[in-house]
Amino acid sequence: MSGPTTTSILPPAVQQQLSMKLLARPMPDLIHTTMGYPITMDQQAGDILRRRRYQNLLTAPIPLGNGIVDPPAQQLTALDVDARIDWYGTYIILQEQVMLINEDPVLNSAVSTLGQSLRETEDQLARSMMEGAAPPINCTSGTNGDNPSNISPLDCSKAVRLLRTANAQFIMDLIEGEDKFGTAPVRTCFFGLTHTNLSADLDQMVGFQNVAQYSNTANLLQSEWGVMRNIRFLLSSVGSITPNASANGNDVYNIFIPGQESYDMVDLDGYSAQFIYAPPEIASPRLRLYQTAGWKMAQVFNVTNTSWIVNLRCTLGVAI
Amino acid sequence: MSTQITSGSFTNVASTPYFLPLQQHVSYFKLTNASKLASYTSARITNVEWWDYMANGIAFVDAPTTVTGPLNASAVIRTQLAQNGISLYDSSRYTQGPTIAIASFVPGTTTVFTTGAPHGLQVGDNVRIVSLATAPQMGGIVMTVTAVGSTTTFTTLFDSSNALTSTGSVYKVGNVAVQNSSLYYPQNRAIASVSLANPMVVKTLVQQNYAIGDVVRFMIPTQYGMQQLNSTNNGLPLQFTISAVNNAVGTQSVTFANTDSSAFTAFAWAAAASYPYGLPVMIPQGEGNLNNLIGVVPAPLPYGNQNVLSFARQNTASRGLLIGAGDGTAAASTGGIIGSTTDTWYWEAHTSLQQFPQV
Repeated sequence: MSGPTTTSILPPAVQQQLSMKLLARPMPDLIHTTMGYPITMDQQAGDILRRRRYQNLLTAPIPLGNGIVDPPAQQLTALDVDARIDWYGTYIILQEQVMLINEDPVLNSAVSTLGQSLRETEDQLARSMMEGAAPPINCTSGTNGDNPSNISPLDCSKAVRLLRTANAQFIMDLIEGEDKFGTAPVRTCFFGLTHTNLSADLDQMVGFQNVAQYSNTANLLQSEWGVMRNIRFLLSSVGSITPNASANGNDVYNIFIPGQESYDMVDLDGYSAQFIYAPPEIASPRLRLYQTAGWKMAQVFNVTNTSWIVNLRCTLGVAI
Repeated sequence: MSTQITSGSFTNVASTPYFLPLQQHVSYFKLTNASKLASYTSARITNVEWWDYMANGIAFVDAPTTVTGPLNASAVIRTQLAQNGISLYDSSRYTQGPTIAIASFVPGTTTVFTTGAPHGLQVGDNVRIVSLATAPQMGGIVMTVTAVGSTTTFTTLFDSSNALTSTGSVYKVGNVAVQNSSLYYPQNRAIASVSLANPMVVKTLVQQNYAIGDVVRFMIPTQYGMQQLNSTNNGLPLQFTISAVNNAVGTQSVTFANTDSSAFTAFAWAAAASYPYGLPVMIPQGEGNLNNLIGVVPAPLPYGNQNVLSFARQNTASRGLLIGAGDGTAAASTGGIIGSTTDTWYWEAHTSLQQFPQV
């Protein structure tokens, strides 16, 4: 045989190399647990956590006068708000041979994906709880002809008015104005938790201020998009959507706007999140054929004051 | 990790699908109609088999058929049931039925809708009505089917007295066995009507599953009237304690013994001119002694409401198998596993150690 030796004649014995730098996984911003009030339930105390709120007494504007007869007494009443914890978990079974022949350390990735699964589950539970419990109000001042309409500045103001009239407390302090080109102060704010598909609609609103225009960006959250009146918006690809639910059959976007202490994030003492690994000698003691890894938690989310949270519902004005 | 077999029995409600909650993956499912084995009815399904390789909604079924002759013997016919068979169900996932055109509806205190094609709905299904051209105020609202007049008509508790008839669309978002919804109970409920009476009775567009002693408040947009139910402008919620509940499909009511609404402004669904607007809703608050049901029989509890736990927020999601209902035979279009009789069934679910190929 004569002529050059090319790779057609002599290919590499192994044609590919697996890069040990694994590709990034999509990780949504988990916005729905950020405003929850964390509270821990004791073990061996039942599975329902009761929280109690006393009702305000009436004021007493009538002078007592100069007699000796007492005015009527008021009764002390209370509202009990309950939540039942449930257990959640998932796991992976890894056959021994998978560990022996894969080039990358599979168990490392298993642990990482399990951790992400746990946090995404928490976020989904919080979101779903708010979908059923946060009082819904429709955007009606938009111009797309649907019900709910697309979001408008006036709808934001109405939602804030509802919360403030119920004495809901803002989450964030105001950001004072500073002498920086293109920036403006930011009002005291609630947070609005919603889907990234609303970003274009928010940008379209007159008066919307992107985070880049805040006079101080020291305490921004990663998912924060900007502010409209007294609402700072956190966007996530796992924000809440009710499919095909508008008057015209379009998707409805839920914007949860919680005030301080409006919803609880309850876990069980010593059981908030557990990573459970069973090595082959435990999971498969006879021939050690596989190992398992999983997570488990006890958790419940609950709106504790329905007057301090709203679900501002809207449709898109800017089509996808 | 092992092969698991679970088993059990249930008695169906006539003509109603049955939801069997099962946490595990089901590789194979077997169902036997005990009521029809001993004394069979010709053509009625007696045995059902389903493997996870099969599509949702179908099943292999045995249906005995009488063979005419001197012995009147029976033959068992095995066929594949094409609809209303076995389906996997995961209530945490949103599902939506096919979109059916609405040809018209009859305005009234309850509403009878007429569809342009057979709707396939059953009493207890939840549907969403959308795209009503001349009655947009009814669009986007979920309501329970309270009666099925024919294959192309169905009724809900929606009060359309102020609406003009319209074309539109309807699709199913939950069925009688598993309501498609948020994971958590209790939930806000849209209001169908509020009585002017003592005690006040509130009807909801879908079943609410509330209980005696539960405390709620209301959010009623101005277009609906009855602003007396709304919390006032002093920042304090106006709350109401439930004294009676009727959650039967078609009734869907809660009663407030401590509330006399006789002199309130009437509640009515608004006309199209008010569109767009928000929903009138009843909002679960909790339980408490804030307006004790004194003198109401049966009294909820001896010491205020401290043991009422019915509004405890809880995750009610589940997964399992939905056993379809039809005429109880393997017929091509009307067939279904559960028929028009009340039968007792035995079932067996297998979870394989390992499957080849994996599902």
